[in-house]
Amino acid sequence: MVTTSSPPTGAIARPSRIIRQIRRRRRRSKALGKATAATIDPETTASNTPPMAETPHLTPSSRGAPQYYLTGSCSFHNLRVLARRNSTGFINSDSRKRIWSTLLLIDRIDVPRHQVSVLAHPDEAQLKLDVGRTHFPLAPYQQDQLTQITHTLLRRNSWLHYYQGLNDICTVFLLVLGPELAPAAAENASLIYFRDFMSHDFQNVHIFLGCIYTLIQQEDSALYELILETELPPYFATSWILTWFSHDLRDIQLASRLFDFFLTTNPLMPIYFATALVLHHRSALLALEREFPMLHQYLGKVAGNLDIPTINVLIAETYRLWRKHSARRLFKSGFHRYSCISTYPALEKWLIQRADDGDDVVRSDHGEHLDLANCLPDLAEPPPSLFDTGNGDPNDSTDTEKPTPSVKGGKNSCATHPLDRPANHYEQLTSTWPQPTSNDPSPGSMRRIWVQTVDRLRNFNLYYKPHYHSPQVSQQAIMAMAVYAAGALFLYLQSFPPI
Amino acid sequence: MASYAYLFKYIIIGDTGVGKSCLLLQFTDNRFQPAHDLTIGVEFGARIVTVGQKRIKLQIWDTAGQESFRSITRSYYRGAAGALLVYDITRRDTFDHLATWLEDARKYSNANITIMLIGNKCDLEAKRAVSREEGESFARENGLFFIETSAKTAANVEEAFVHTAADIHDKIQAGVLDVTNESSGIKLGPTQPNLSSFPSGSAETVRGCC
Repeated sequence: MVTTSSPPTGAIARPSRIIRQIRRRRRRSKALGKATAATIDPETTASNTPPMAETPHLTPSSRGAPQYYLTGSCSFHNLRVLARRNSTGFINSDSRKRIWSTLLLIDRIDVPRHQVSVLAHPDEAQLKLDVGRTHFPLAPYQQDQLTQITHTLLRRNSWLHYYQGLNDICTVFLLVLGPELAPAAAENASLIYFRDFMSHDFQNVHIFLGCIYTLIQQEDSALYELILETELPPYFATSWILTWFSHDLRDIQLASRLFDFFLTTNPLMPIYFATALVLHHRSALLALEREFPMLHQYLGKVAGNLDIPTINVLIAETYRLWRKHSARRLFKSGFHRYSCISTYPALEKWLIQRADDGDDVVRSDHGEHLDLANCLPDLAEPPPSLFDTGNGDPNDSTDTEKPTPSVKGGKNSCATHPLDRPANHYEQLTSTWPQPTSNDPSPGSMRRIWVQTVDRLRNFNLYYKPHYHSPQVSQQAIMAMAVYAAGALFLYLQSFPPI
Repeated sequence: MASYAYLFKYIIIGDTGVGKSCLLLQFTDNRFQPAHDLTIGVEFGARIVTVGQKRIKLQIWDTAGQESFRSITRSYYRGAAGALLVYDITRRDTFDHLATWLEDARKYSNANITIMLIGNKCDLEAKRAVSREEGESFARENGLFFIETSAKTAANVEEAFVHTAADIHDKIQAGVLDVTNESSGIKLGPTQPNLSSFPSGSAETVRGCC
């Protein structure tokens, strides 16, 4: 499940790489076999199905049923199994505080979050309107906390745009993790999982939503025909994908359960879950009047009726879909290589690698420092300023010719959005973009790559302007320039009299 | 299934937080939610109204107001016969953005769309930032209908929807809109309007007799 299901990275899997992956899996299976410790608190899960340690090549029927304790050590792999198998996910807020922090690469104790740019983000005006309109109602003091969380997120990552729905995601982090951890969690979740949606338009959202139909087409031809016939657009799932269902679910317990699952998996998993949800209602959909408003209306309500048992059924179904329809194959060309879908495997590999090396992802004792915090070493550095061009020092932002950001200004006032930068700016940046090399799979190098990746992502909105990055385009441009130059030189030489 | 003569498709557009969803909720459910959820994407509501003795079913698409969502909401303009363009009389900026909304509506919808300009939240007279005259003159200049409403007190909400329907109905009667063309946002109901000389099958005629 882990290595075979990696999403498209654009990289071609080389034989040597595959062999290495197989070796790694073997090692992991051995490690798990002897040392699967402990996760779920036996009291709280007495009635639940006991979670199993499962590796990609163990069949579900091989029931070792080891006891898990959340207080014990647990690898990323086991957390993944736990999130999928345990009916209440990571059980409660206490364990979630630790596990979500780990999965989102934050240290739960001392992450400096107060070093925030004083410059307001252009989207803060919108945010002000939205803090009072979250799906899970917040008390006034919590609304202030939510404002803080989102301001921190946007000011530290000024290239990100706020979209309606992000407030619901941040609300889940606030309610589950509390005001101390939530800012860091919301920020890292945005960087790892939601940044594709946080560009100036929703081009990427359309791509994500389109994937649902690709999956339905593979899985259920009758339903797909209905969709084609009624011309139903996939926008019924907009809030599902943008908020990980937190805009639709009835209560925070359900939302945290789903977040448990999504935080241990690929950013594409919500697409598979959405597909599973639609397929779950296939007979009702097929029985409806064949009109797209009817279908839209029906699907608009299904997420609101979810409960824990249904969610667990759907998660199992989601995994079935994930295994059956490889994302790598289905969406090979769909995602840009700087999409979160494409960069996630670097994080995934790194987390798995730690488990391979016998290093626990979650440490039990409170005093111990999580190594994972080193993943984002620049957290303590001053954030890039709103109009930082990427190569100057951060103090550049006082430059007078650049527009002064104001809370009043709408999105349009952000005149120097990274996407508006000249094409060569991107060429310049992408040429130094870190790429995983298959010759060097050591944990150190993976960590370096991830750190550099995150570092860059924080500063530049580099995904989804494919024509800016595409090597083919730049090669073509160079070829065209070369031809022109040769022609010009020829004409120039022609202008001289023959010797 | 309730019978109706026509089905009109509407779209509600306007800046975020002006009360689009509240207007729809007030119209379809006759209730008001002070802290309404954000609309993420597109939501849907329907109700039957009576215009000139005819039952008309309104299918209403309620859209997200944030600019990022426009690429999603634009695809709903195409099949709409009526558009409700909403601004908030207590927030000047929502009025100032009307021009861009109108431009979008003209660009992506069919040419004969009926547009109703709505100044919402007229119960908050003390906080008013856009005068009624300004709204009226904007509507006049751009050939829109105009009404001020309050989704909270339900003032004029019904009228806003029904007047739009009446205008679309007039256009059908005048032959401006073609009921057989689905892209006009109009469909004949399962019960045909009084097109034939056989009165028996038509609920319309029955109503007329009573």
